[in-house]
Amino acid sequence: MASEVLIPSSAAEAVELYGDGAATTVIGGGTVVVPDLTYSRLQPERVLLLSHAGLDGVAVDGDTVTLGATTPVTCSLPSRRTSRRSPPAPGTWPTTRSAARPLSAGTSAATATSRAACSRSTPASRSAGKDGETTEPLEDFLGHRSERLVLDVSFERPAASAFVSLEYPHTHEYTVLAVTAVRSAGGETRLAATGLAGPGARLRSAEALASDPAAAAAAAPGDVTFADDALASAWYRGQTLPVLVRRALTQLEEPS
Amino acid sequence: MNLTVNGVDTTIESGALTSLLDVLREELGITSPKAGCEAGGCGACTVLVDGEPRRSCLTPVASVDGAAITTVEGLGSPEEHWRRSSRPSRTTTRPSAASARRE
Repeated sequence: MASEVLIPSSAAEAVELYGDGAATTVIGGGTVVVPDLTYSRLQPERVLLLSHAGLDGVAVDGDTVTLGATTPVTCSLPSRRTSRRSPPAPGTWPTTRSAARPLSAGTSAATATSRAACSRSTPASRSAGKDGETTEPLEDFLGHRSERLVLDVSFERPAASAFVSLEYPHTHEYTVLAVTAVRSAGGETRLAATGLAGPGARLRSAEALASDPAAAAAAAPGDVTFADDALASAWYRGQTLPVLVRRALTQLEEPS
Repeated sequence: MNLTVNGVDTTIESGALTSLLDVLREELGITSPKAGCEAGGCGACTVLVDGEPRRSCLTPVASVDGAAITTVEGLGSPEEHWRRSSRPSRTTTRPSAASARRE
């Protein structure tokens, strides 16, 4: 069955073509969908290809950072190998075009959204669907998981942040597990983890103990559900997460 | 759809959702990108899209319409690279007759 392929050239056109999302398969970069298309596991009636919709890139307006829905993770995580006290200055985030997934799907999306989720008291998700365009707290959006077209996610630049990850080097680096810690201007500390072989998650119990990195590290595994995948076993992730949490919180306290 | 593949402008007949890998291998007969895992993991299908590495197995060809694609075939031959790399060393170790006369 031949699919109807829609290729919008702007965000507004993408919203219009998406409509209520019925029977529409969205391709951001293709990582999730294209293998299924190649092997005919997926035979969509209607495909919305976002590669030219202008939904990629990072915009910084004052203290507000906005991640476009198809922004590659390489753009949203500019310093994967190091932690930092403060986010990069405006303009230092590249806005290249390359393969990306919509923020609502896949593990790399979880990486980006986990970063956003813990970067502000009310990070916001802007999306479109049958109820029109709405902006809502990101955690609400992730909670109801409704079929909507994510346009962007915005959050306030944190006063300090740390990103610690466990990488598996291959032809490119896979992130087996990663922890983000941020402190807001108001002093609130947030923690999130991704690479759990499932959606990224806030580490709320660990957050409550953030002033004591060792205690927070011990509490963190209780906040998430680990799973096995090709990169690591659930057991290994369970052993590793406390280490990353402790390192992230320790680095958060280090002078810049 | 049009692509510039290894410097040659090419019109693509495959469907919009065909992977760039299949277009290169099946339609254009360029076989250096390999179909390995076909899930973005192994990197055997990597090509340059406008100079940036991209997994061609994950890339719908319509998403790179108008782009410049470079495969291994477009990087030149080993002989060409050998000539390029050996030329500077000859000029530095063997001064020309003109420069020898100046000295």
